[in-house]
Amino acid sequence: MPRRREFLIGMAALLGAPALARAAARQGEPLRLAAAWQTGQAYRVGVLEVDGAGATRIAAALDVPTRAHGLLRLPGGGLLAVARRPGDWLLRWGGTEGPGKGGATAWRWIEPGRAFAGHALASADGATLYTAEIDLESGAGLIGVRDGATLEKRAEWPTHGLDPHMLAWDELHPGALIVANGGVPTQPETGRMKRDLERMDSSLVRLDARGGALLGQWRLADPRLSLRHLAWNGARLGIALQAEHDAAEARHKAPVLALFDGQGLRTVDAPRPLAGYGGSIAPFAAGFAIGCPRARGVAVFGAEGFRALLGLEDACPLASAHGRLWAGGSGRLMAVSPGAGSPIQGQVPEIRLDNHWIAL
Amino acid sequence: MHLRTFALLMSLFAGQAAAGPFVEAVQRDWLGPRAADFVRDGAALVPALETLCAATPERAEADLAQAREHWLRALSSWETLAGVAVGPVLERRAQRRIDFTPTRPRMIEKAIRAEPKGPADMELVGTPAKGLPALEWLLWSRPVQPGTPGCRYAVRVAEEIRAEAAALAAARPATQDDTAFLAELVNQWVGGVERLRWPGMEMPLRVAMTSVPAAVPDFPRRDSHAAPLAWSAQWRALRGLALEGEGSLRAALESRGQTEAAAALAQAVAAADAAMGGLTTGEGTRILAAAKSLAGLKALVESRVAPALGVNIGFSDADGD
Repeated sequence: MPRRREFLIGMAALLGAPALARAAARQGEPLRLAAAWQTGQAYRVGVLEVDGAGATRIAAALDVPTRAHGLLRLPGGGLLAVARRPGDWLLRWGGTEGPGKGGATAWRWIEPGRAFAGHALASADGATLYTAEIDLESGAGLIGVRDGATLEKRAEWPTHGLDPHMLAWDELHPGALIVANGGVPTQPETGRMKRDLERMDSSLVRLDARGGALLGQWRLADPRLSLRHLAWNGARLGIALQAEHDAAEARHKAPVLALFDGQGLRTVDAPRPLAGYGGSIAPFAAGFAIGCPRARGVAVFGAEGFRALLGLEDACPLASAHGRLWAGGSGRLMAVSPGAGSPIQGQVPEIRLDNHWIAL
Repeated sequence: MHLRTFALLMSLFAGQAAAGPFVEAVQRDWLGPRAADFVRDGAALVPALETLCAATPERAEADLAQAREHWLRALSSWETLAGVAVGPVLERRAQRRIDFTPTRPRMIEKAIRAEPKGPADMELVGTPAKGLPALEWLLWSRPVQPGTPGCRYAVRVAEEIRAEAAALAAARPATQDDTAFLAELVNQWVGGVERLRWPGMEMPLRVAMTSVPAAVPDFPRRDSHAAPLAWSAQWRALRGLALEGEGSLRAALESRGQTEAAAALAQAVAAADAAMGGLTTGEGTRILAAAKSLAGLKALVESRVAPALGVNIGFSDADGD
């Protein structure tokens, strides 16, 4: 039976379409979200538009050969999509007007012996692109340093760990990168299958963005928590976690959020189980929101800790735009205001959204 | 005392549980015979290369052709064994040991200069300079000449392949438990169909199609032009372990009363079989159609077969990230 809070959210959804329209169409501009999704057997990257009438439609879409994961708005205006790990391709779509509004598409295929790990990051001027990668021979994590225009690789730096996933600029240490080493051992011949989890070694590393030198490395006390997705909120870095404990109960109860304050890492517990899987993270009010598809909702954490789980089936992609947090789920979209008030919901097309979307 | 009970007690005394009937069936009907084929063809590589190395100038071309022929046979039996990498192939990381790609010509040249004399010396050579891909390079890209260090190095590489084949044939799946082994088989079957579909067939085409200027697809086993042979062998493994005998996915489904899922699997395999038949590298449209058929088959195994068998797919697109 749904909890009272989830029931109230459901009621708000029935009443919320006009409010959603107002939220999405602030200043007359419809909200545009770049997303990746699956429909039937096809994988696509595209743009969803939440228009002034509150309806969400697919404004543009492009077929991609395998499932996409990380999405990045490039400083020049285009969109960069990265294949899901272990991935083979990068796609740059659209020019200064953004994806779906003209401009060429460019594909870049991974170099032999390497695999993309799902996320990328651009320098402020767009001249350099940093991609999380895996050395297929050794399994070691790498940052590929690429030319922002041609996407060709210029250098490789070790991430000092296994299974690198997301990377972000370091808000506390200008000129440095933060990389989440997920730490899950994988092998080329077993793809995403997790083996030898007793060898798991997840860490957060700080690398000098000029040459890749290691400036710091931090680990959680629990070696079965994989640090994967990153978001800054002021001087605090939130990290969404993926639990890899052998026992289902331990996974079910495991925390989904860790915080990094520049000195150390700690997990944040919640009074209710969140199924041990945070698939995405975004800053929200004084804390963070985490997409928890296995817990069927968005977990909201304030500065003091856990606040609520907002019910949304298959909740995962999150984006902050127009003063709200936008969460995607199975056939539905939810907009949450940091102030008082219930979330408002709308429909999205019948597509299976991937982990991430970004506001354009 | 029944023989079966006696065998069970003996294995318990030896500290090992008896293999479950499904593990036993896969070992008996598939892994054992396929490993034996690879032992035969892998072992034949060594004398073929020794003959080439000792050949007179007049015999060199014919002996090179003979060595190539043996390499193709070894490749075919290897791809059939490793097309679904379960049991010893997975546990020994045999694909990494003897089929690591991309091969690295500079490492091969360095290894030739070091003139390794035996297994201990070969331990010092990196995997990208060894195995079937390195031997392909030594037989096609830079064909070795009789009496040269390159030819002797090729013999060392073949000896390692022979040793690995023997080790694979001697080993048994580490997992004796039927449930655990079935989970491994389903996961690796899905991984195998994806390896064939994407890096084997579709990705090289997509890369070529998006290249400026347009390029020729760089299919696996390019130097030997053996991509169709490799596709066919991998597909044989996938088809065999899907449908044939007591150690197949179909048999596992039927034993659980999942006859509808078993029939759907058989139908999808038949469709893919028709699409895969006689494929050659020059037929882009047919290759894409076959890849699509394999994608449909993979989706079916993930969405219907695995749940019907109670197996969680760790390899799957439905897993978290």
